[in-house]
Amino acid sequence: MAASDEDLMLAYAGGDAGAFESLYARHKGPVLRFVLRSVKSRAEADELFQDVWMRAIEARARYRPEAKFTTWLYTIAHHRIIDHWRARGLAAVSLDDEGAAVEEPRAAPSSEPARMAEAADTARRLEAAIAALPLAQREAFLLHHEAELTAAQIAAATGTNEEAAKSRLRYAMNKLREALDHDAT
Amino acid sequence: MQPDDEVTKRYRGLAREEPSAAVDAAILAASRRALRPSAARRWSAPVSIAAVLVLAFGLTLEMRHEEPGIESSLPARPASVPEPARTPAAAKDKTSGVVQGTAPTKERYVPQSKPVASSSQKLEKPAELRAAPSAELRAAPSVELRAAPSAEREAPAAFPAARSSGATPPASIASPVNVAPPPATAPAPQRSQQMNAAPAAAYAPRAKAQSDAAVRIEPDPAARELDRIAELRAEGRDAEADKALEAFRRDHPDYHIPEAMWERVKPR
Repeated sequence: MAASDEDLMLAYAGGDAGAFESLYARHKGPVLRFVLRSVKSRAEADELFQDVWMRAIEARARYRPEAKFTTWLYTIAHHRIIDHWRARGLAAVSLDDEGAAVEEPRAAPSSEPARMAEAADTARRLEAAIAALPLAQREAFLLHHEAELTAAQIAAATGTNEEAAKSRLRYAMNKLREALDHDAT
Repeated sequence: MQPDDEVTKRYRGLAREEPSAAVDAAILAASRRALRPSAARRWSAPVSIAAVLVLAFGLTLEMRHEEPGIESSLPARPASVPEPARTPAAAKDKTSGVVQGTAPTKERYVPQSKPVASSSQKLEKPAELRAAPSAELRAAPSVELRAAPSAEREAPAAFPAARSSGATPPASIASPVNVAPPPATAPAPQRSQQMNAAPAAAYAPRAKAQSDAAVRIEPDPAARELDRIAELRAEGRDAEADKALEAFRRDHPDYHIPEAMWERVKPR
């Protein structure tokens, strides 16, 4: 049975470097994608991603297992992203920038070129719709789909209440569904 | 939230970006680095211990370096002591031999911080020596006169180390005083006192007082000569004083004329 995130984090705080490597391997992808889809620039995302992990490393002694590790980690990420946007005057994400900032989605291999094109098109539309979401809704959506946090955990990570987190998530899903349906029609 | 929602399914189909290998390496290196104690913390204890050892070693060397300086001045000093032993009282009990042979050993410096009496206890029958009648002491002026210059010349070399270490003058220096206290009736010339007191003034006050006392009974022939020259100057007989000074220089080429005396004898 694999060790829990919390145990690994405690082990790392106790001096076990291998525990951190396991934690990092588990969460590096979701954290990067959460950050990448929040800032829309790979360079910025890489910088923020490193900052998030560095802060986690520095704060290892303060980690308490009462909090779920992912909640704790994404709280750090949330604060870092907020700082990032504040430094830019809380500028809204521009839809015009998204194509240049984010890698082209890679669709699953398919033998049907038409279907491949359609899948790629759908992915592009979805990414555009995600990028167009208000910051709080996008954050709630990403935390749910990348970090697999519940509404309560999202609330804890973003400093809001559970109802607000549920509401944000619901709004985000509805908007994305509408975007996909609208483009499909 | 529906797990099989179309949006969720579509989202799962999006690119699964991963951090680059360089970013991975940087973060993992940082995580390992954070667990290592900092260089300052790791080296602080050994460096502190090394510093203490070096300091202790340096102090030891310094002390060993200073001690010979104190001792080297002592062998000559007892030479100034024996003469009182020729006094009849001292000669009887051969205390003079003890005093003369009182080699300046390290042990003699141990009581530096102790009262002088403790060091005098090491001398045989110091009480008798102190009790030597002043008349008897006066009866041996030639001996006393020989003793004074050596004490004067050697003191500057001997005392700096003692002064720097804050120690009181060695007991052996005090011994002339103990052995031959200034006779109450001895008509010690005032000028001689001043002349001989000058070098001693550079030492600790106690040493000064002791050397003053010793000098009172041990006039130096050279000092007497200088006194005479000073008297000639005072009387305005400069030509004679100049000649006498030249003669003095010939006879005592290495004699250090104290500053106070020089002021009195220097050519006008």
